[in-house]
Amino acid sequence: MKRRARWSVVVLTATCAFTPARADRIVNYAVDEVAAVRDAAEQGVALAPIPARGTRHLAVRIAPAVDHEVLRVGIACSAWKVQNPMSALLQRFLTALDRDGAPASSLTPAAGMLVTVDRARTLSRCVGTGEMRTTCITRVSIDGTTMLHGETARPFRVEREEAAKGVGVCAGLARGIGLVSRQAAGALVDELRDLGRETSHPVL
Amino acid sequence: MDAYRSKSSGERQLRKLSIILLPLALLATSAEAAKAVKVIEPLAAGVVGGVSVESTTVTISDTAGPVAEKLEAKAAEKRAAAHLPPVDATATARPRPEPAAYETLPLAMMFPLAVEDVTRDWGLTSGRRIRLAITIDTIKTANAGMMMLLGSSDELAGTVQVLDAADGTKLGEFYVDVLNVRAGMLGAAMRGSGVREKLAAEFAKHVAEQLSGSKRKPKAKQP
Repeated sequence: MKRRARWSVVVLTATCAFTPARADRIVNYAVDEVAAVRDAAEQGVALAPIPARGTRHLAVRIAPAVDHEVLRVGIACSAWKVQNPMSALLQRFLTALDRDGAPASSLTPAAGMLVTVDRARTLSRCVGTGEMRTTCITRVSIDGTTMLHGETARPFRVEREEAAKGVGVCAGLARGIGLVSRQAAGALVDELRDLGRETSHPVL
Repeated sequence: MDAYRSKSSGERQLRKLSIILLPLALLATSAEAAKAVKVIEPLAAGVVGGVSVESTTVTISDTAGPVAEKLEAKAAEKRAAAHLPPVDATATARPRPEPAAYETLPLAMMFPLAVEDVTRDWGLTSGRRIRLAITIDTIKTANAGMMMLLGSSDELAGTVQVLDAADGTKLGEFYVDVLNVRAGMLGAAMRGSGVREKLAAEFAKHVAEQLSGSKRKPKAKQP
């Protein structure tokens, strides 16, 4: 009995000592729309719609730096390390926006606008808001350039910040980040549409 | 008797083992949680050590709202007890309150004064003119009962955006988390009163450290 108790302490302590201090999570952008709607309702975040198809063909370049690790600040959920592979999300949104549903990789006579996404960043601040409840404020920014035929590249920056209620203590953290990232991608699409109107170049 | 002795020696061994292994387990927990300041966007070149803090604005986010409201009510009670007139938040020009009266002011009014006091004390009064935009995510005071039994904490946390005073350009951003854990009678005695003001002053000290690039306050010049 004594030996068993001793071994329990040893095993428990060893488990604590050798378990990675941070729990790895990856934002999942492969969820279907039904699950996305459910997640948005659970987290109290507005779901950015998948863009409607545009009228012109686009060229899209997404840099590797778009996939990034979320910067986590604050005590709550500090053991969570979250990867945000935003290239998958942006590819999905810009593909939906493209007239042909298949953006080109460089400016061609057919592709009216080149969208280059250079980097994306996510900041997550979680706050304990009650017994076993956490609210996480997520800020997502996307930086890049747009270029029309014969014009110089114009930089853009879109940013969205939103509080997600989370589910349980930290369990909904990655889903909340995914929803705010989606809002930022939606804001980028809006900016591209505005640019098309501004430049009297109805590319989108 | 033997059985008793054997049980107590077993317990002693277990206790010894726990004492040896517990620190190991504690070491394995995230060390980052203990950091008071985390840089979100590094300060622009030339900012560190050469700024003058012109103004500070404080916004209390929804996550801090409920606790902040309770603390505001307490501050209003203190104000009434001190026979001071109610605070007029819309007044544009008002005399600068004495530090002793900070505890009677709403957080959004008291905090900029605390930051101003500390940054002036740290000599952040010459160089590029900046303003600070602070958003408070968390404000929490320790639970007295829990503090006696297990320990409880006072916390003030939020983001600090450093902006150019002239054109509003963002020059950097960092997150400050002041977390003071107190336990037992001694903890309560050390905590004292004016907790909100102490948290604000400590937060402001971290801001001053970031802006000055030093952990030490510069020595006052001899007259």
